[in-house]
Amino acid sequence: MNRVKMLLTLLLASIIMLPSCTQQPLPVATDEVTLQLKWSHQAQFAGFYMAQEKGYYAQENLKVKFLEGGQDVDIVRRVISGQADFGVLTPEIIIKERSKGEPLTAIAAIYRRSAVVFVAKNDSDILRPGDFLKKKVAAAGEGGAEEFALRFRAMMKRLGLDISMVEIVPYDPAYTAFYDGEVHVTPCYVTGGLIKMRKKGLRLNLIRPDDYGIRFYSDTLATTEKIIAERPELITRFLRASLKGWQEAVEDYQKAVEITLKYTRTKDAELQNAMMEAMLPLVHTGEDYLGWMTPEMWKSMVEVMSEQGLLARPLDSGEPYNLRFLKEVYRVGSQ
Amino acid sequence: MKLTPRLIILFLVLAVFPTVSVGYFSYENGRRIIKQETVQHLVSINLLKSSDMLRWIEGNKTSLEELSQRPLLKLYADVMATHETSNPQYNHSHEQLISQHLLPRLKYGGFFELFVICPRHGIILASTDERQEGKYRENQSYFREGKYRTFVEGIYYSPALDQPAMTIGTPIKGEDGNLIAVLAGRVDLAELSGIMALQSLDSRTEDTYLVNHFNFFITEPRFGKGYALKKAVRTWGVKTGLSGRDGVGFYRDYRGVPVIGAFKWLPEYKACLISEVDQAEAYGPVVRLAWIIAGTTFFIAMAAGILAVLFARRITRPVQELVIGAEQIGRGNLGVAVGTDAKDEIGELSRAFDRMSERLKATTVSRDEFLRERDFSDYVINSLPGVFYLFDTEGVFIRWNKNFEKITGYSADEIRKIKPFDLFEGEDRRLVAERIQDVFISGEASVEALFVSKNGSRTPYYFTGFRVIIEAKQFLIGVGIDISEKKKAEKEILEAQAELRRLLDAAEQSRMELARIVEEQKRTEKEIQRLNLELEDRVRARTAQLQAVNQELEAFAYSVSHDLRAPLRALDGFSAALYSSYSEKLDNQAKHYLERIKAASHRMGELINDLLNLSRITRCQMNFTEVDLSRLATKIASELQDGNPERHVRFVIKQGMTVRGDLHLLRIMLENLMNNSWKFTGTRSDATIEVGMSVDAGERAFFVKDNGVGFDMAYADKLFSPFQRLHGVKEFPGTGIGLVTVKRIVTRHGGRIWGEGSPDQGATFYFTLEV
Repeated sequence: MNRVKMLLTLLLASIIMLPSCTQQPLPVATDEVTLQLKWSHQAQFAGFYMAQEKGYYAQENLKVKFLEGGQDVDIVRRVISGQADFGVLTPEIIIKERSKGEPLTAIAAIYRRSAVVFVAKNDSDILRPGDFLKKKVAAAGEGGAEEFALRFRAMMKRLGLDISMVEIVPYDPAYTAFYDGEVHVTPCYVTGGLIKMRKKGLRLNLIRPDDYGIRFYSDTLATTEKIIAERPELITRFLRASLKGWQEAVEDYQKAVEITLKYTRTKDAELQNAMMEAMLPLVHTGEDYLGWMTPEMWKSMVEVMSEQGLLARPLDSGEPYNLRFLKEVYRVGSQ
Repeated sequence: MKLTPRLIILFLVLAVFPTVSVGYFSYENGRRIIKQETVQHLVSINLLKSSDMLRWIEGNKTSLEELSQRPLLKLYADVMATHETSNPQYNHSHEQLISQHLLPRLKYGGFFELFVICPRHGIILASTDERQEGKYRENQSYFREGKYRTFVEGIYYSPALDQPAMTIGTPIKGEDGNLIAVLAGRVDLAELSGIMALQSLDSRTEDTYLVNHFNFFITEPRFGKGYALKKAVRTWGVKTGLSGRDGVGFYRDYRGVPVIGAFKWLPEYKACLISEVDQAEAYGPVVRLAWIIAGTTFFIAMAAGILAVLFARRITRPVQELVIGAEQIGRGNLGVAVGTDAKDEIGELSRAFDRMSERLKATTVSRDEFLRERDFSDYVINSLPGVFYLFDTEGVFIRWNKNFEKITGYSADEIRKIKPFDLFEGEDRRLVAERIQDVFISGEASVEALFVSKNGSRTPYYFTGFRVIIEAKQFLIGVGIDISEKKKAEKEILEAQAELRRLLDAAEQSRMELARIVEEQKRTEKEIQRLNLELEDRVRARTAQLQAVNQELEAFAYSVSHDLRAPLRALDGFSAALYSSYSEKLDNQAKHYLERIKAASHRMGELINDLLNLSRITRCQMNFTEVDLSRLATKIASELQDGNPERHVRFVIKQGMTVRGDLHLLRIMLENLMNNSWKFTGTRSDATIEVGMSVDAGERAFFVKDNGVGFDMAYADKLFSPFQRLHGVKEFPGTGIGLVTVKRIVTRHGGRIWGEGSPDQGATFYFTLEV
């Protein structure tokens, strides 16, 4: 009798355990992956921290290392050289490098709306780009400010406004001349300069290039053709975990700020919180899936770059991005 | 088990079981009905709200379409879409369009912004919000789709507005059906939230909200602020609803509270409508019913229990009484009656029992009576406090009590053999025999006599005797009481009275002696007081004199040194004037003399300064605190070093030296001493200055020691006199007041100061601070 009972129990246990055994993936060696961030640690990259801290990378058998960017770091070179497997870059850089023949490819757009905005004090009459004429605009510069200059020139061109009628001065990240009223318009990031200015109590008119047909993605996840060719499944795993982290950051941004503060050098919760609130609508736009990219946007971005004469050679707008991995992550059939 | 608990259990089972079962079934039934009703209610809310919402959207659509049909609006839009902005007609149309058509429509509600978009580039031509004009909307669905048909763009986050938005676009078409422009309106989402928040019932937790297919709230839920498009919700209800199904469920909501929820998928808007109510509220009536059932069951159980106890008592009490009665009779108590009037079998049994005990009692009663009488008299006799006796005319003891045996020391057998006279001696024996005679003659008598026991001890007793006649024979009956305590007390009182008298006499004598001594003491005290007063007067007078002289002296020194400064300044000033104004007329010799005058007046100034300081130090108020000398010395050392960075002097300062004193004065003192050491080691390349402490015979002496030029001990007595200098001014500058100041400060602290040294061997200054 007892033996029968025991046999039955064993049988039952094996039936219960059978499906879980077969579903368990075979233990594989953990892959080490390096992600090059655009700047030093801050809320801008919250979704990646979330994926790390919540173990989403670990679930994909990935051991992810974050490399900080900075003033002296050539982040593009690090990705191209293979020092980093993935990079958080702007689409402008990806398009530009691509036209030079570098094998960079975007795999997802984290920030699907641009964070660039032009601001004027709200007691001025400057409400739209047409009002820039005969005013001082801080839209010239090298390096980081190049992005601002590009948006400015493209926007004016799109509206058919004569750029020579605007007094263009160099962009100043301290905004001193703007505060003093010497400069009338300055570009800034909604996730950075705008927070600073509002904290100072400034009331501002915002002029978004998006509203005038100049639409760019901001932070875009990119990798190289080499990795796409050799380790496509690694990209899918990394992207799946990263987007899961971003999804969670969007849904619970207070928690995301908390986790971000583990990485940042200065523990300014108020600043990171403001940054997070400003960037959420850029990440979670209410359109398509998180991270999704559209051929129209890439076409429009390449066109603007081309119009501005920033490309080394004519570029097909389908070249600098690849939708394959987003489709795999979201299990959307390719059309 | 006994009968009573058995009966109680039986009653409880019979009473409670039906109540509990009926209660349980009615509870389950109530719960099922309420569940059904709640679910139906929530589903109907969803149907109502979704139709309200659709009607609201349709209303807005229709309203926008109507606006787009106005001929004048079409005309103005056409002008604007086909003319340059610089054209005056354009401006006129713009103004008319806004003021006559768009702005008035806003007032009806429903929209918070209305605008017209150019069909070619998607530029906003005119808007009720001026800031929006000129913006490109070519990529928005409400424009792209709105060119062909009325299109509602679901709820999305608008960066331009910085808030959630819902926009409807509709084409403005000309007579021939060609597209003129697109009219768009931003819907006021607060109205949608209002529709969702409108409660049909007076419910505390009923909650209706919309969730989009990204799991984000679209309208504000009842228990959250600022959730719209900011917060995601992933409850079971939302997940199931978003998978495209309508239904109901029991789950935890966004607050984590268990709810009953109904969800409805709205495919057109890719959103899910959720209505929820807290299970706690929904099940409230059922819970109340459960309480009522529980209460009723409890009361029925109580009543059944009490009834059971009463009923059991009625049966078991007669039986129990019968048992107790039987036990009593068994123990010999035949007076117990157990008979009852009961007509039942137990009643008959009890009456038969009584008849049996009645007969048993009759046979045993006479013997008991006799024994009881004798026992009683024995108790009485033995309970008497003294001795009891009964003897006949022959003196033979018939009865006595236990005390009698105890006090006489004779056993019962011996007592039967002795006579009453044998218990007395001498005179007492005769007296007792006489009294015994009296009793038998006159009936009663009493006597005090010493009672002699078998072992010869004697005790005073008071005896009484009464004649009694029993069965025609005379007996003497009586008691004796021990009166030894009374006798002893009488004697003690007499003795105590004598002692008291003696003590009173002695006390009177002592009192007299004491009074005399006190008188003497008082006289001596008075004498001492008088002498003291005399002494104080004398001291006060002397102190006042001394103070006056001292103050006069100090004031004099102060004013002298103060007044001296004025002429000195004149001297200094004029010599400087002379030097500068007549420089070319003076030869070198004259200039040299002027220099000397200037130097001399300078030195004089320093002297006066030091004198002033000295007099200040003497007069200033002392303020005592705990002062860390080591720290002070370290500070001064670094100041010295800072003043002359080119010199290399080694400072050795003992740590932890603290004293009580005036910080300001101690600093001046230490500065002077260390300054001296610094000065007199100026010629040394290996200069060392040590500040330390030595303890001699329990006295702490601090010292400042250096290896400078030192001094001859022969002049040691001149060290602390004013203006006495042991070295030349040129060699070592100074006024000669420093050490005087130091000494004054040390003296004010109640201490001593002395110096030791020899030429070229350095100097050491010791000081003590007694305070």
